[in-house]
Amino acid sequence: MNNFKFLHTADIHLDSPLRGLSRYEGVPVDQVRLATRAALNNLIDCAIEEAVTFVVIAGDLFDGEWDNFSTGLHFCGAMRRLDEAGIEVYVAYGNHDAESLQTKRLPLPKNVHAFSSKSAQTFVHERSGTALHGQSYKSRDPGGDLSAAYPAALPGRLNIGVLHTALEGGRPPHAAYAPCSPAQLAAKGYDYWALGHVHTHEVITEAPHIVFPGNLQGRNIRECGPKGAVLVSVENGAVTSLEFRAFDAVRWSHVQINVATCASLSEVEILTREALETAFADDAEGRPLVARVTLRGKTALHGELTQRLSVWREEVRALSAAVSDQLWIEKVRIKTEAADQGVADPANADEITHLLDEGVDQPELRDVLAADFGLLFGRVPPELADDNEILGAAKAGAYETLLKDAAASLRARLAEGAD
Amino acid sequence: MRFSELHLIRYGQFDGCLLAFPQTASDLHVVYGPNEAGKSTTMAAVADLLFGFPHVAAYDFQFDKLLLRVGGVIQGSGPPLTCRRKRGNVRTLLDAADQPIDDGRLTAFLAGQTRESFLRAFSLDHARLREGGRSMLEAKDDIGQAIFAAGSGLVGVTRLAEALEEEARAIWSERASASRSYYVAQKAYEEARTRLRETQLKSAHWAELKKILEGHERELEDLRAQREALQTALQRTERRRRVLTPLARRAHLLEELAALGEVPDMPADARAILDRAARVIAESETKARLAREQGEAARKLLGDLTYDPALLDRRAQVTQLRAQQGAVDKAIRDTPGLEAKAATAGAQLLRLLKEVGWPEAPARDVQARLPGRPQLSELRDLLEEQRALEGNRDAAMAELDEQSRLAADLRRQLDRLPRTAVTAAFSAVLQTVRAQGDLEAAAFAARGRHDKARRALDAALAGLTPWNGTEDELATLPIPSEAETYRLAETLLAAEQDLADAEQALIQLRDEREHRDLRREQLLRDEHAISSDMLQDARQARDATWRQLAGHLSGVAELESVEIAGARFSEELRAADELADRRFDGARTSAALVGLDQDLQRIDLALAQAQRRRQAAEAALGAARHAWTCAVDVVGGPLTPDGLKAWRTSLQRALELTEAERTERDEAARLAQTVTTARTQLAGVLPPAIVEALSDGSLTTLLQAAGDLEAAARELRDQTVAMEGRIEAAETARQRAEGRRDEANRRLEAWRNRWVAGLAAAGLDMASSLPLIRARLDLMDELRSLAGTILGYEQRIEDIGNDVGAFSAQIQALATDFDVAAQDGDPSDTLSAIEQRLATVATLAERADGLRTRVREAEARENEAKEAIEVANGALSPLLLAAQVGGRAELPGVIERVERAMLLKTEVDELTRSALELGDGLALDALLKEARLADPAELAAESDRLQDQLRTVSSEIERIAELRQAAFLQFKQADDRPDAAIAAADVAQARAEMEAQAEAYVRKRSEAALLRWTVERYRREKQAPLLKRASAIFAELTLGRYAALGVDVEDGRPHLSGIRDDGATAVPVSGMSEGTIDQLFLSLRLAAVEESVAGGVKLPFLADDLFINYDDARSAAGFRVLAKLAEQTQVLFFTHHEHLADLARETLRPANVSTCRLGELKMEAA
Repeated sequence: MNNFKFLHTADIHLDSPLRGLSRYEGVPVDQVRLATRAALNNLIDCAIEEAVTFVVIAGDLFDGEWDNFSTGLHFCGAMRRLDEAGIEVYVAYGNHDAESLQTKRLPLPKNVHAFSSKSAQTFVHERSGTALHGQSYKSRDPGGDLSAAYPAALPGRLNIGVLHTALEGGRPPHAAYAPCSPAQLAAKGYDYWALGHVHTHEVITEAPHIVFPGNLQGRNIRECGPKGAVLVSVENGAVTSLEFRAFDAVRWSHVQINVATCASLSEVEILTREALETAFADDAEGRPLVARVTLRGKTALHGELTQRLSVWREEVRALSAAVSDQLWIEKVRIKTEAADQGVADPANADEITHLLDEGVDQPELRDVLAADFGLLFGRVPPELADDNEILGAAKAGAYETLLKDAAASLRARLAEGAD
Repeated sequence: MRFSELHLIRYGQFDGCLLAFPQTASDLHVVYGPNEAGKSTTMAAVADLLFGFPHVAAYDFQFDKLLLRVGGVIQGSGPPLTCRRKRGNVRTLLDAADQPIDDGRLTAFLAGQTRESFLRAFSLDHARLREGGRSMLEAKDDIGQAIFAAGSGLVGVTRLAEALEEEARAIWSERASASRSYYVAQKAYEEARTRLRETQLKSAHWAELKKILEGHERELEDLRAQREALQTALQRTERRRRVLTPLARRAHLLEELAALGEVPDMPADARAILDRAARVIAESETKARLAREQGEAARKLLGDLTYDPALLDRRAQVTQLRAQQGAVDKAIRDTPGLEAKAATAGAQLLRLLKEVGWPEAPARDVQARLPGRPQLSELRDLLEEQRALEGNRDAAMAELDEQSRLAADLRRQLDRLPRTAVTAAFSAVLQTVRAQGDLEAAAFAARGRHDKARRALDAALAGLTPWNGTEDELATLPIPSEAETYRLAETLLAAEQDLADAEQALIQLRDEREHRDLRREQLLRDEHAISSDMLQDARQARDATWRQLAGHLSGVAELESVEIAGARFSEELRAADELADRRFDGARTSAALVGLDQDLQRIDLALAQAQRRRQAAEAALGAARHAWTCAVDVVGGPLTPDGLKAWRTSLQRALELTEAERTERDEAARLAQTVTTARTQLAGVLPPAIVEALSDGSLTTLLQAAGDLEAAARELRDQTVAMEGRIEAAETARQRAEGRRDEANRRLEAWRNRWVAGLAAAGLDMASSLPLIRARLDLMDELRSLAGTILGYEQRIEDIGNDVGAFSAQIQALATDFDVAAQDGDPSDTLSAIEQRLATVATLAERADGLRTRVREAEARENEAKEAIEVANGALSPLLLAAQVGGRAELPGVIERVERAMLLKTEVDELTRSALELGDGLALDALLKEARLADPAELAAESDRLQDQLRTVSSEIERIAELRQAAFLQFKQADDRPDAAIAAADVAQARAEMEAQAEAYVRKRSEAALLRWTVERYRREKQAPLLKRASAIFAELTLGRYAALGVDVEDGRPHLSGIRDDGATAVPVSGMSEGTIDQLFLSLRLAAVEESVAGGVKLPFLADDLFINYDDARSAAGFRVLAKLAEQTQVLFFTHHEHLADLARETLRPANVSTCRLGELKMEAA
């Protein structure tokens, strides 16, 4: 058995769009649009450069609802590049692939071997002496533990199990398909379990190696940080090292800034710029970086920040442009809290601002907002509110947060008018 | 006050008429009578009785004005007052016996009102009600100004609320608009979705395109091979034609070169070298001669010059002395002035010495005798300190007296303050009730909110058609999820789009087929194209006839006529051959026909596929419609996706309103109970006397009484505390003044000790007075200053004498060195002679330097010319050696022969290169061989033939290439292009922007709504009591159609408006009906009257047919409002509608209203 390397990847979700980033002047539209394709190309480049013997894909090549044959053709083109380099590919389809029409129709190049969805199947790669065991999903939910029916390890060979699963108990927000425990997998006697489905890289155990590579390209703000695949080295029939390689073409980062110590907007601006510089220096690694900026902390500037949110969004975009032309802002969130104002004399407090606080829990005001937002949500796509706290609160009738922010913003605006 | 009776004794048309107003629970009386019955007269009579008859006579058309009498029985505090009024200026108030009585009691009842104020506020007909109402709206009187007080100060905030609403509308509103940022994002979203649908690629479509492309590419490959062979042949022929001419010319030149024979090897520029060397030699010889002559002339002039160079070194010293000259002259001029100033100061010093009593002495001695500056300065400081210390002591003693007197006064005032207090229980109850806010208003508002919530819920339930049920059923209605219906709607939309796409594709293919059919028909008809089928048919006919003939010849079958069959065969053979010839003659047309036939096959296949796709799309649409219908069945009738969206919004609204209605109902009940409890508690802790004296038992009244009691106690306590504080402050101030006085005395004593010591040290007399000592101190300062000035003058005069002597000595020494004679007395003249001598020497030295430079330059030029001649001769040496000649003169002939040979070689090389370039890479030998065998005429003919063939093939390639290109473009578009992925990314980006805009809208809208609510709440809370009460009356008079009155800010000014029962819609007065305006004015007026009554002006309220624009329901409401007023003061309502009297009784129950007909009772009967 030779010494060799192979690449383990999963959850490519080819051509799945990056979500949450609005288009604005200068956004690298092409890089963002085709990020998943670029990430796949990066993977192929690495496979050829490292002269790996084969590539294992543990499910979710495509997005389930995505029905475009061009995506499949692009995948085939990428696989042909591997074929020209003499690299084999082993694919176990996952829950998304099972829903995808093109998975069934795609004319795969000869070097791509897809595991059957009817029962567990074994491919033997003779040149490296490797046995790969796996099963593709037949439908979105295979209905139970697939690994139980995987064959026993073949003696004298390196045994790799390929499986799309969230393991036992699941890993939210990933659905708990094909549940099984690390102990059950270990009991199979394989040398390496190439898992997919969970979008975060994680080495579950090292004896045997049970590994999630994470997805190939982060597609939204919940998928921050480096994304890529695992390069596995085998020497004398045993796995000797794992190396995570980042292949993402665009990276996501959540920049959280505590502005409690800031006495003015200028200081907030300075802090934000510093935080963006740090994030870009630490996280981007030469790629375009898409960042969400969230301001936190108790501050007297809470109202002013809330009131200037739309202006602030543009200012943060300008700051990011000053830091680098490869840094982009997905969203700006104000999660600050109003600072304690000390002991105020209610008799002398401004009556309008006092009433603003009182209005927060007024039923008649809630009626007005319910009518307004009812109209709004009758017109906008319902899923718009799924990942947006403000819209979620407005849709669910939880107006307290909205009105508290509104009160703070109005206080700032009224104070500005008084100046 | 109230009337229990009104006596129209002799007044207008009345004669002994009596109106009785019995006391009921509510002091409301409806007086009715037909038109002309005397309602206005009665109201005038009341005013005349109360305020006296006006000067202008009225109501005297039946009785003489002196006989006019109007009277009544008036109740108030004390026994009833029975009186009557006659015309006149004095003593017009009479008793029942017509005797004058004192009008003091009646005046007290009127509480300062005049006839005008009574008519404006308490005695109203419709015209006066309107007039007064307008005045209030324009804020012309106190009442109007009180109404609008709450509207001020909110202009800026209201504008901000409007601005926020505008900002929210700029983002989103129900009406779509390209100017709203949400819809801009939505448009991008929809466009991206359309692109996404258009760019998605189906697998079958891709395979079909691939097959077509591959067919064209194979055909193209064959044709290109043919073209390549033809091009190769043509290229060879053309090459042979191209090289013929240059090779012939080359052979001719080679012959001429051979004729020139052997030529020496010389450089190409030999002629240029020779010419250049000859020109340099001639020029250099001339230059050398001129330079030599110029050097000799300069050397001769230099030998004639003589001067002493050492004198030039003294130039700096001469310049410095000239610079000092001015300063020396000025010092000499200043000396007499200084001596005069010294003499004047000496005389002044003598005068001062006499004044002090000291003997005459030089300035230096006087300076030594004076006391030191520190001693004199200390004495001056002590004098200043003494003044301040005495001032402090006097001020402290004055303050001490003042504070002692103030403290005594305050103690006397404190002793005179009264003592009072309230109990702890009272304070606790009052605080508890107050802490709950305006409970009665809250309870009223809660009832209103509940009614409103119920109405809103009923409206929302009605808006849920086609569904019909109760709110309880609504909660359990099994509505499909929003995501599910959204998905179904999207599926329906996509299915409709797919069907439309399939039908469109079918139409395009049919059009394409028709186009091809037409083209095929044209080829056959107009261009006589021969199809393979036609040729095939002709050949089959020929072969069939041949088989018959062959059968006959071989004896297998017998023919009737061999000649006829032979002739037919000959004809068929000719026809088939002709068709074949025509087909090949028109190869291009035939090829086009073949292409068309292939296209038609392809289109037929595509048509069949498109037909299948359309059937599939129809089936999918049917399924999507069925799924949609099943999903919306639960709402009780058909709904479109948009309809369901709207229905779902209505449903959500109805569910929320159900919850809101329950909440409001509970809240209203809770608040009513709270009001009752609070009233009971307050009545329990107030002193019984106060409770009994209250006009009613409402919570507001009880709170007002408790508040008054509490305020009185608080005021007393505040006064006591303030007084005690002032006494303590005065005592503290007195003690501080005492301390300051003692301290001042101690400091004065210490000063005296230091004063005595200071005088002794300065040598001054201790017995002298302080002013005398101050004068002596000033004299000594003056003496010190004067002595110093004199000593300064003397020193300056001595320094000037020394400087002038040194300057003259230096000039004298220089004159000797320059051999110049000294001038008498004036060193400046001597210095000028020295300077002149120095200038002459400098001029000579400069001229000598110039001549030396000219000598050096001439020598250098001569040497340079000699070197150039040597170099030129050196350059000619190689040419002489190569030509093998003795001298420079023989060189030109040799050079000419060499140049001709080089020219010929160059042209031969050029022709060789040209032939090779035209020879397609063949070697020169091969080209020479081809050229020897070539015949130009044959080559031209062959070239024409090959080009014809090539054109035919190229034309066919072009046609197939176009077909291939079209197929390729279609296939390329359907390749792994990222268009769909890009469109999907654009969808996601646009969706993110929609989310951002929707969020911005929610934020802005929340801010706008909150600020609007705040403004309204502020206005409600700050509303003047008068407007508050008018609001309540207005709501009742309009039967709840209006909830309240509000003050809006518009154009920077407050305006009154009615707030509709939805609590939000504001209707300006200009938008109200006549009846509503009447109700508005009556509300304002009654609120003002109630306020006056509460303020002690308790006069009867008289109303003359104020309900003329009211319907019965509003009239009933009007009576309820008047009955409420009648609980506080008497109300007399005059009307000519008898049914209004019935309505009043119905509305208020007879116990609360009395009615009487005008003229019904006579005084005798009473």
